[in-house]
Amino acid sequence: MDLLNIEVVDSAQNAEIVVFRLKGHLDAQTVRELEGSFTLQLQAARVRWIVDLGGLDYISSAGLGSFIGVLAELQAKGGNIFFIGMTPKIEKIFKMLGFMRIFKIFASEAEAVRAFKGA
Amino acid sequence: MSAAEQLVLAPETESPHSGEAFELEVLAADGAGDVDESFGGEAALQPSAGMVSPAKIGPFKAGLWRGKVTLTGPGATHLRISSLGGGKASGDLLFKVRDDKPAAKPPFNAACPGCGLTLEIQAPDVYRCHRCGEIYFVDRWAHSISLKPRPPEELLDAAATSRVSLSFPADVNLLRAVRTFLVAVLNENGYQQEMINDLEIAADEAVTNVVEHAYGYDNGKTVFVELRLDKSGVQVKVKDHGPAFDPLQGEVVNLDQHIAARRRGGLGLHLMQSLMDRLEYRREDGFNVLTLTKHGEPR
Repeated sequence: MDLLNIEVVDSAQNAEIVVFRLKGHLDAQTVRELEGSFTLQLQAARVRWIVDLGGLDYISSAGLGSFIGVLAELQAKGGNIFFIGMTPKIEKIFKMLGFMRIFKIFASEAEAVRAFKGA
Repeated sequence: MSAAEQLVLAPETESPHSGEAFELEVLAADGAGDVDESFGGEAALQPSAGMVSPAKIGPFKAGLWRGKVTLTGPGATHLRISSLGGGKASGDLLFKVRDDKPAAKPPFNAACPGCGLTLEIQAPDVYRCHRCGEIYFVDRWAHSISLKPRPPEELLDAAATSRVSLSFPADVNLLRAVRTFLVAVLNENGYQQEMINDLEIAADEAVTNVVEHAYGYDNGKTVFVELRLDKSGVQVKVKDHGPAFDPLQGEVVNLDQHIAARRRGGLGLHLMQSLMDRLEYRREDGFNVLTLTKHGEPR
């Protein structure tokens, strides 16, 4: 079984937007793989990201730090990270760390895509 | 023939080694010293020093009981025996418990006398098995001594705590396995799901810090984790023998500065502080010891 499964796809609603679908455990071990995926998209100059947390069973500060670490670069290039698939377990952690103020969270991919268009 | 008045202890040796079982015969005798063959009751054993296992023996058959008994020492102990139930028979014998064998070097393995589950032991102490509930004492020679049916009063408080410890190489590839183990132990002991989630993350953060900062990803080094579970909550001690470092003195996270500096780290301490009721750091015997405490009753 994979510890973390990362699916990177173009959004069906807007091919300029990249969707990362995460499944499994995001911790200090598996975050390296995720950061690798992030780097590939940055190198391809793709900076509008939607991260789907719906399949994540576990996240630690290593995973959360990877979102914080890449945000400034995305925003400097006109992009952003929006989150979908929020679970109560992860929302509790987001609130504790003050992430709700920094990141936008949407109920669906369609809503997140619309928010990018309006941006 | 009159009822039993004395219980006569006849051990295979009067100087057993601490923690090692020896044969004991007990005879029920009447006032004249004749065996009371009608005696079929049970009797309690109580040492004047150290511990005895089992603490209750019987039933006697035709006035005789024979079986294995363990004493802990070192030194002299009067082993008192008294009949339970109707009779008033009693007796005692002086033992000289020896402790002249070399002690085991911690950490060592010791098996639960109830179910055989092997644990890695850091120090001699009273343990409650998280699998079968057996309460037992592990001595410094790695003997596991059952404290059934009832441990001495002064040990009951300590035994209300269940302890589990593990050690593993400093490797982030083992984080998932360590979390799985921790969650399984907490689940088996009936703590609430949200409390388990909080402890899972906080312990992960503490272990990750050790692997990354104390040991610099050197998987030849060892991380030690000890769990103490009781009815008021859970304590997780994460220990390393890296250079003295107090992780609680880390900077307060300012998210905006973090983002501007494109920093990834530093959130772990903030999470541990938010998720736990108490964090405490100590430098102990060359170890950094970070203790995470979370209050909450098991079901």
